[in-house]
Amino acid sequence: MAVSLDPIATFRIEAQELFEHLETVLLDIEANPDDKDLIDSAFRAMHTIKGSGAMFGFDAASVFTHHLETAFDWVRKGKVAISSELVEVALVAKDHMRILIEHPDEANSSDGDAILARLAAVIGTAPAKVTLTRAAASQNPTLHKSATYRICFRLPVNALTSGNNPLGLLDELRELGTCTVTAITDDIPLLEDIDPFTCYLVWECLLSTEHPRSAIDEVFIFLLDDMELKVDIVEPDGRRLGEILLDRQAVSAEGLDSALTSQNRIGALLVKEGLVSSDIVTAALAEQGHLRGEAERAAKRENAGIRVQAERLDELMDQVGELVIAQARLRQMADAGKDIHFKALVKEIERLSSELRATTMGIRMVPIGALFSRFRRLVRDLSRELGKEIQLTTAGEETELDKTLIERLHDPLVHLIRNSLDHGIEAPAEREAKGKSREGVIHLSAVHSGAQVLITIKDDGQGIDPLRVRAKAEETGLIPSGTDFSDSDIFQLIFQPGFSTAGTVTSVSGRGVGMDVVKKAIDGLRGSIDVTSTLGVGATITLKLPLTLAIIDGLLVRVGKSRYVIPLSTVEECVERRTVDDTISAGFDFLSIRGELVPFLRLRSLFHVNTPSELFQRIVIVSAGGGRVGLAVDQLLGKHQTVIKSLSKLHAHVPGFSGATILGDGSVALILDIPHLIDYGQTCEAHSRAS
Amino acid sequence: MVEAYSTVLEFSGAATIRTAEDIVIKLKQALAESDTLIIVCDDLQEVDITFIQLIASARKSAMVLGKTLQVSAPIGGELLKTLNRAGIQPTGSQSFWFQERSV
Repeated sequence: MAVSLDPIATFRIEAQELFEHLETVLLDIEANPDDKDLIDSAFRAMHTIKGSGAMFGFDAASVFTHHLETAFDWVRKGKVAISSELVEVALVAKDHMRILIEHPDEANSSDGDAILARLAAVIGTAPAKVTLTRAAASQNPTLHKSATYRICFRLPVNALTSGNNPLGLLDELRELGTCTVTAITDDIPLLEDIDPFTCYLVWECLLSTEHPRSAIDEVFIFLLDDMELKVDIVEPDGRRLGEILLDRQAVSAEGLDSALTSQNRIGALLVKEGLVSSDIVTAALAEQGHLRGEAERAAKRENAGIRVQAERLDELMDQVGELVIAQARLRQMADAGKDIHFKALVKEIERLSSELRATTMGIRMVPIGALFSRFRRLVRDLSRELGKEIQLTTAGEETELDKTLIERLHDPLVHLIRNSLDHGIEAPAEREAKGKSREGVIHLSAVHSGAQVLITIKDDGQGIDPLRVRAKAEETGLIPSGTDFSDSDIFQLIFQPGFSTAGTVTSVSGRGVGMDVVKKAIDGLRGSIDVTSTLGVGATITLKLPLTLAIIDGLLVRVGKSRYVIPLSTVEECVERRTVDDTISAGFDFLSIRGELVPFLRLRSLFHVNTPSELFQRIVIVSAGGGRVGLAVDQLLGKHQTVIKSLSKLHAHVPGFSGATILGDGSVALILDIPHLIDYGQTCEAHSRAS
Repeated sequence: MVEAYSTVLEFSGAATIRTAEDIVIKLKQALAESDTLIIVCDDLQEVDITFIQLIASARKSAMVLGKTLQVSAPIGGELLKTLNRAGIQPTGSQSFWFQERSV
């Protein structure tokens, strides 16, 4: 059970998230170069990677990131403008930073130098020659415990005439964290006495920051000798206004007590009594607001969640699976006995076990948005490489899927998107000639549909030509010439190994390698692929996937003496049929259900069962590949929580089964893989007819 | 009965340390001549701390003299941006900055 908590591994996981965030933000900046929040967000990500990298010994990554951070610091300060070139080099730099952290041994320093040289050219100077104070900051990274400081300062009277800008100093303080600034105007004289060049304002700032105390001194480094600066640590403990004023020594305890005897607001009272100025009360109220905000932010951070290692979640899921199996055995015992109290207890345990299963599966669910955002870069880079203008739009990012599914979906989706980019969307000139906009769109969406998730990749390109696909399939012998196939069947041929209609092979696609891999990967996830296309308008590929790979709801059935599980998500209805009708219908394998002819497979003959058949067959109608197919079984045993166990290597290639599960009595039931079972059944039937 | 005079004093362009001396003179003159001084900052392009101090000082003087001083500044204009940067809070004695708005 012990799972080691390697801090380096933890840092790498956090860095991975930061890199993904940074990539997303950089792509957003490219679209919205004036968005200051985005630039700040990119800067913060770089800053954290630099600081954390140094802390965990990734010095090369830290030093490299420092240069990029400096460039973006200049962007923040308006010294450098955002350009497409800067975003491009920042993205490449991000990739290099990632290598430096994830695979430092594979990092090539000359690559890093080349990137820095590009960066220097883009921002018009050598970023290595940044000011020493910033360079020194990289030695002393962030990740200090967050603290809140009360900073009271009065600048020298000649501060303004000696070229200092208090507004700039306040801006620098704000850059250190969350800062609430209050100006105290009490010392400003009347108009006849004022010297317009003297700085009369005094400032009180509340700064919550992860930077060390010395960072505050750095802001005032050229004024420290002549100015008044008082820095105190403040605990964000939600204090009352009176306590804050007492702490600031702005009011005496006696004055406060006297004011408190009245029912009016304490601040207004103290001002009225002449005990403090209105500005001081304003500053104290600002402090109160700031501290409340910090306390809320801290509470939110605490409630935001904890990081749990994926292995622990897998272990938890395994244990819940064992519990579900044990509970099924308990249920069987209870059913066999007559003890009402025992039965009630088993029912209670069943309820708890079901809730635990739902909660555990919920923990494993993660939004698909993080996966979608990874494709933005892919589309951006590839469309440039191919000389196309393509926009990626997404929807349903909040749709949640089992984390294992999300990890395993990445490669198939990359293949599908690359294919849309290369073969689907036309070149800008060709699109214009067809009356389309120059910019093509690839739309990626996800939506829950019952116990499944539908992931759709839709493009507005040229679509798939069914005649061309058919011709190619006939030419390569995939299908016999002249066979009657629907467009939907024809489109499924693109998933055959080695199938490609592309005239030219590009670095992106066209070799016919990939779509069959996609099919295998989706099959491996117990999913299916639907393709629709309208020539000249675009193509849509829909992946139908189960919500989870661990536990499913199944329909337990009996065929002969063996029991099998049919995934409940595929079951549409069950009908009964007299076995004697088999003879009457002379072996025709169709049922008429409400006027619709539905083909069905006899699992008894498919599994070579020789035991005497029942008087009635039960036909389970399942949905498969856009159609309905019946599976004839001997008995329906009921709904079953199915903990999926992988088949052994010896049995993994047996067609028609996706796994196995352990039943309450300890016996094993095979889980039917519906699409493959139907394919297998059709093949068997074709063979038997041929013979 | 004495008639109350009001003066509108408009500032535009830069109101910074470079123009501070002129601004003081204008403010003193306008305050001496009127009971209500309205300072219009619609076309200010650049503002620094000196201008904020001078207006705050003029407001203090006006209060001592029993006169009124109002500031009119556009939402999102330079003056309001500078007030925010300087930490002038829209409550207490400095609330007068934020009472008049032009769009």
